[in-house]
Amino acid sequence: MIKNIAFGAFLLVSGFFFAQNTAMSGTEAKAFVTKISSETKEIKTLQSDFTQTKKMDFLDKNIITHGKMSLKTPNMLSWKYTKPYQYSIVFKENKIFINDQGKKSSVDAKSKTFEKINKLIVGSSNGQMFNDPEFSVSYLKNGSFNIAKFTPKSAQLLKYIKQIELYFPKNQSTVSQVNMTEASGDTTNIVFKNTKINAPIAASEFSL
Amino acid sequence: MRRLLLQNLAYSLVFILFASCKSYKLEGVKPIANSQKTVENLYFSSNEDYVYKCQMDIYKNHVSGILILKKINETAHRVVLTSDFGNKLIDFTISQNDFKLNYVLPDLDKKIVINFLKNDFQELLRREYPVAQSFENENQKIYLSKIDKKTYYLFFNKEGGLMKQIIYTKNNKEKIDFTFDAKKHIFADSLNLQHKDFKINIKLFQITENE
Repeated sequence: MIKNIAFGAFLLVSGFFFAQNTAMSGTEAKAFVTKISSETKEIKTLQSDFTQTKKMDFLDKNIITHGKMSLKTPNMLSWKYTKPYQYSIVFKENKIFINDQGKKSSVDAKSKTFEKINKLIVGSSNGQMFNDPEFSVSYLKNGSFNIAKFTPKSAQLLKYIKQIELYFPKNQSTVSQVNMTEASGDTTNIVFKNTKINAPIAASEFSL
Repeated sequence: MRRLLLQNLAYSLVFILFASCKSYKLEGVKPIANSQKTVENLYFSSNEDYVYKCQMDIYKNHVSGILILKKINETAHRVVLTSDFGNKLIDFTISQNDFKLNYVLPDLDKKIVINFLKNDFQELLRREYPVAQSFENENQKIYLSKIDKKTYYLFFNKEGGLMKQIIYTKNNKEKIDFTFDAKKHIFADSLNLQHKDFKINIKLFQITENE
């Protein structure tokens, strides 16, 4: 019982705590971007487990999927869902390869807006999007995180996505959480865990 | 020679015409007395969330994602398809007499796509079927149902009483074949929707119960 109260109190406090996002000053924002950009330059590979939570107002339960992502600079990215179903997508040399429960296909990465959006979502995991001309970025902070908030500039892109928030833990140069808000107001949240920087990745991770 | 060719062509045309006009017919069944006035498709009848991994093949396009079906009142369902990354592709509210589009991704905003989804889901979510005739074979009971100009054949396993298949025909021609795999009458583990008139196929695999 005491444990429950303590936990409840913790949730309440942390909720309060998380809610306190304040805007960074111009100098702070500049220092943050410089730091992240220079640190991400040192990243050759990145691997992480992720949990994706989709919320829709009319559903009783959230839809939760799990998977693993691997990134190898300059242009290889693998995004694999492992639970509750198998679906892999690999971005490699401007092509997109898909393995949908054994059904394989590939498309030209430049061909479709929709695929671009997906690349953007997936690409946000390493914070390389600060310089994307399609977005205006604002910077926020709280006790534990620095937050970069991306808003599309064009009406075209706004039809797809309203906002993307990247959460960087204060002592970390990689993203630990991505929050996406769609035009409809629905949200998708991706939390990264067990992040490994510059550990070797087998080439097979990027072939399907 | 020319005459022979023309003759050949004529035969082929007659054959094609005949083949494509072939009516759907139940085979290997015997008629039985009607034991009930209506039969029901209860696979989407619960108020719980129905969540499926979805694979659609529309001609040469493959669409993957997550399909959510939710009964929102006695007559209507909310249907949402998202990509695997969670972003919404299409969202609509549908009943037998009504259709409201809540959202569609600009890339998918084509009348033909929306109409085909509307029609297919209206058929899939149809719950009540009045029984006109009943048949059986060794393992199944088959109910024939007529609604407007449409004819449906509903196949129920004798053992367990679960519905296995719906064949939807119009003007005697097979239009859509729905095949279900289920352990419970209110929940299908998988569904295969196969168009017989167009190259459209939708496969669903449940991810509702994965804990």
